[in-house]
Amino acid sequence: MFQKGRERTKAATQPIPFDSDRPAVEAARRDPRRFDALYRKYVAQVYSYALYETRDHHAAEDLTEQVFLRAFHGLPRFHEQSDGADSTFRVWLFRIARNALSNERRRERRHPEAPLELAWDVAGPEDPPQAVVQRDELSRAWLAIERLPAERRRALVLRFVEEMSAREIGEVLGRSEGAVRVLIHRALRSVADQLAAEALATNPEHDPRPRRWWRG
Amino acid sequence: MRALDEEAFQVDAYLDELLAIPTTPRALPETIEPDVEAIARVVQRALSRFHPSFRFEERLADRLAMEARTGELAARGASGPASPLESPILADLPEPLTIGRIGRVPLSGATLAPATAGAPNVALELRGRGGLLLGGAIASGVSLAGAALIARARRARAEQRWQELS
Repeated sequence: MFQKGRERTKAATQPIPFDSDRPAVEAARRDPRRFDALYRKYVAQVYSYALYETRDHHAAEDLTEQVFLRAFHGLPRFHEQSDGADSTFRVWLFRIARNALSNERRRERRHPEAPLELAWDVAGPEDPPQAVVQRDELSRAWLAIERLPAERRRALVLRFVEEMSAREIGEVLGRSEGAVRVLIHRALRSVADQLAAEALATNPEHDPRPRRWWRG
Repeated sequence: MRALDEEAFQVDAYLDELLAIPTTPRALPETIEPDVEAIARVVQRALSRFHPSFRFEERLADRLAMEARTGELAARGASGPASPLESPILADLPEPLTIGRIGRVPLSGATLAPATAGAPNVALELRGRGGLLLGGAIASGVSLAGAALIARARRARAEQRWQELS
């Protein structure tokens, strides 16, 4: 199931042969009105990323608007190969988002007072007791994610929300693929540690299953 | 660090599968602890993707479409007339007698909507006013020229009479 040794090294260094967005990008270059297809495809992704970073719906909308306007005007200057072999439209778009966020933070120097309770927005199952348990679990998980260092949290969001590969995340964050893997691995371990500690604090009799994995 | 890299790689490969086919049960490799699956699933559920409001999405789509149109017009303008608002007006100037109706003259500027009766809008109003202003200025010019001609004719006639009398 998993590649090992040489096979793995080879896979890690292989460039992505084709950006699935290339036809749409070329169409948008020929006719700017065709940018709409790219916009529709990525608007939720960019918005989600912005929402997790800003924790404010209005700020996320503003940032999403900035990102797409910049991408629209910058599209003639975007070249897949110019920023590295793995650069794709999506990676380029998220780099714009990351830069826009950095600029915004530098300009405003503000941080959210209250954490965004995203877990509460997740639809629960129909069974109320089960829903309560799930909501509680998700809420605790979200709080644990919230406490992570920014770079680890960002990597988790890009991995789980945007479903980016470690390679793509590396391109967005300016890190190596291996460093991103370790970042995500540590982030998961931190979340697991926090949840376990919390479970133990609320129920001292709690006998968790062997968690050799997150003892480090 | 070596072991950590290896473990991180295995977890990453597992996440690839989890995110690709989230509902299908899979066998975990022996090197990964079973709890990885549990925590990864919890994190997956906690981190949902959000969609902006329909209103916002459509508003931004409209804005981008407008930018596209503006760019298109600018590209056309670069090889065409320098000013789409002025040159068509000057090119389509009607006869002085119809100058008062310049506000209704269809203008060929690409940025202007055709004038339609019964559908007033700001652009049409402004265009009407501009036309009237322009028409008024030209009409004034014509009037001055006419007055000068009349004055000149009268002066010539007066000079002629003066010479006859003297």
